[in-house]
Amino acid sequence: MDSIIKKICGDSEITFDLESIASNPNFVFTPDENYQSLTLYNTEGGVINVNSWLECANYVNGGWFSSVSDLINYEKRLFFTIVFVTVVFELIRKTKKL
Amino acid sequence: MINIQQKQVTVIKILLLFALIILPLLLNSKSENGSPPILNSDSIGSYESNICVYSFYDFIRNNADSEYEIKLDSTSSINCHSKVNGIGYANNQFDVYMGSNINLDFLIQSAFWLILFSFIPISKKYVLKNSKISIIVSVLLFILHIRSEGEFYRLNSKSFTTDLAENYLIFSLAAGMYLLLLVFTHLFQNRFDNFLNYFPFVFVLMGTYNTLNLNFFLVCFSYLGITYTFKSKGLKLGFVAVLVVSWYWQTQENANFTFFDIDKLKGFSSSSYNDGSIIYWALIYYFFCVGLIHVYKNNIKKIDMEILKKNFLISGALVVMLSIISSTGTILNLLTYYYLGLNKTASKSFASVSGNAWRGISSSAEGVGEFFAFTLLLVVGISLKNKKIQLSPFTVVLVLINLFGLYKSNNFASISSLVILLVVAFIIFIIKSKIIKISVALGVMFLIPFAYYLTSTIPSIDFLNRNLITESLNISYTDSLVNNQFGQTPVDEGRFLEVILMEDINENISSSLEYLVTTYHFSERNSLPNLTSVISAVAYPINRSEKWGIFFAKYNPSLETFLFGSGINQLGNYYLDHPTKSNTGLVLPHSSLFSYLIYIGIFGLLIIMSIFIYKIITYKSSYLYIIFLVFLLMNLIKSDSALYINNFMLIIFVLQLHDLSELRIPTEQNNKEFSNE
Repeated sequence: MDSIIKKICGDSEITFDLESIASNPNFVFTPDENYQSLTLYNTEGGVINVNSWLECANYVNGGWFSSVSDLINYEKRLFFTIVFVTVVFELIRKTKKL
Repeated sequence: MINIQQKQVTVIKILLLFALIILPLLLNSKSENGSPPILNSDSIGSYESNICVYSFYDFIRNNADSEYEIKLDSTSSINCHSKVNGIGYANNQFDVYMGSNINLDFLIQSAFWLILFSFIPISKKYVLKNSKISIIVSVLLFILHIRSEGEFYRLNSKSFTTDLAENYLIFSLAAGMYLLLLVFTHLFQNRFDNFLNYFPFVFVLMGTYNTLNLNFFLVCFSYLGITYTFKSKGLKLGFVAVLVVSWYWQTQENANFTFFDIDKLKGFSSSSYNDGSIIYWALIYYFFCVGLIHVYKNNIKKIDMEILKKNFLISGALVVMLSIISSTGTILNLLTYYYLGLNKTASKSFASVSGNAWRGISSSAEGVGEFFAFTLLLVVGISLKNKKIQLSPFTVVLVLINLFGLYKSNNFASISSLVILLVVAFIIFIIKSKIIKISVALGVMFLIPFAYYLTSTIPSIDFLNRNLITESLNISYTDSLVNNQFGQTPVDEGRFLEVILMEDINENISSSLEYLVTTYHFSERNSLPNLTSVISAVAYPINRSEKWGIFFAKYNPSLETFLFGSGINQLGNYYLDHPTKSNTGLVLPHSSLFSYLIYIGIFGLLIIMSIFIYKIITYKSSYLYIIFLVFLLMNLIKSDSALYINNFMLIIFVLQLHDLSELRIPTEQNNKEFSNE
């Protein structure tokens, strides 16, 4: 998990028990002005902007990710379906000389 | 045998259309948490905690007796398409949000419109050359468009990003575009000769995508334009010229905007102002015009005038009827919006907007009013020219429905130009005696100002001259002006130059308004009117003082922008760069001439005007054609109709009508010319 956090959120020297943050519903993340805001996604289609390394690490630890390509499996399936239909249409057109 | 086969194909197509309406609702119809509860204040919590769980089909079935408004949640993911994605409650009304996904919308709407397109009867095959390479160019342009208007698409899809790496959202859109154009090529090649007879239906089927800033006809005709450009050296040169002009627009020091709410202009206007969008809209507009003109030019002589007239009337009647139907219920309102590709949902009631106009399914009451008026002008004009005034009972009913539509649109300019031009057509084609012709013409010329005098309040010359400036200054930020002892501002007192020279006011005054005030102030007080007075005096009787006042308050061009514009279909810079009090909602210039002044500057506008003048001079003997052109010009001055894609297609169509034999006076020379052509 640490390597994914590092990959998505970047390097940081902060050490913190992420599990204790996750179990504390009253924990408030302080925005870090020096931290470049990131957009994270989850499998339910949720989107969130994180404004500090700690906030980012907490969400990534909870299964959120930064690349939309991880989210859009349906689009991937749709893409290959359209490609398949296009090939079939072309084949019919060529064989029937439409 | 062939007839039976054709009937079977037609039945299959109709079944497919129904399937495309019903199946998307059933797409995710297995509600995971049981059936949706009856909608009331107690069940809102259940809906709110079960987003993207209940299918919309189940919701409708269980809430047949509930009252609610349906709205589309256009940011939905594919698995939430046609599911209940939220419930809102405001002003004693429930708003139900139905999920709609950008990829599925594109496929469903395209399929529906392609099937409708296939109803055009088959004709002799016309082979489109370079179709494959043109499709690829169209797809690349499409990707450029999506990336250049990222903010618009981010508002229409939660997972949208312009990064192309493994971005299957964009890949599947691009693949869908390829498939759409492939099928369109097949359908179009087999219907080329008959296409124009069915052209009027673009006012019923508007073809704007729900979640894309694109239009079906724009996509298809620009693709045709690309195929023609590949074939012609002249068009290739035109393409290079467009690239040079768009490069010039990009080098202008105009502010970039990532998002501009295009509202009812969706599908034919840019939602952002940046290098990518400038070049995309310049190219797509060029290819669209090339495609349209080429199809019109090659087809105009194949038009069956009886079918065309009938289809104009049927389209007008369908617009009225579908408008009435869609105002009767929220589900029908949603269906017409989605499947006719409306720019915005149809009017939800039969009442007029602001007490003066009813737009129905159209995006603009003015635009559809022009269509109704042109339909009547075409039908009655051709009947007068051919001296065949007899109309069948069916045609009379259609004419009456179109008249009703025109009345409800309350487009005074269209109604008055229609009446005047029909009188002119009557004088030209029906009255034979020259003396009677002159007497009737003089009588009408006297009657129009007299009727205006009787029905309107005539203001003083001074008021007419300065009214536009007053309206403009009132919409500019001039709040720091001090009132006199009678509560009047310097604007009320007519001290315009003094106002614009005030330091804290001057920066809020647009360059165009500054020019108008200066021209007005320093003009010689002689019998010749200055430019400001002319525009102001023209604006008043056609009820444009306020709208044109807003235009001049906002229009703040540099000299270069005034000369060459800021880009085709780019209103964002004009609208957002110079703030005024009128910055909410989409307030358009209310004159196509002014809109095009923003797009292509005075230089481009002069080119367009010279095309009109050239056509009028060249085809002066084709009286009915001239009447149509005058109708267009009269309406373009007053309305924004050229900004709507279907009205724009009508304008280009009318410009090509000179090749139609029915519009020519049947002299020996004309007949000879026509048969030679």
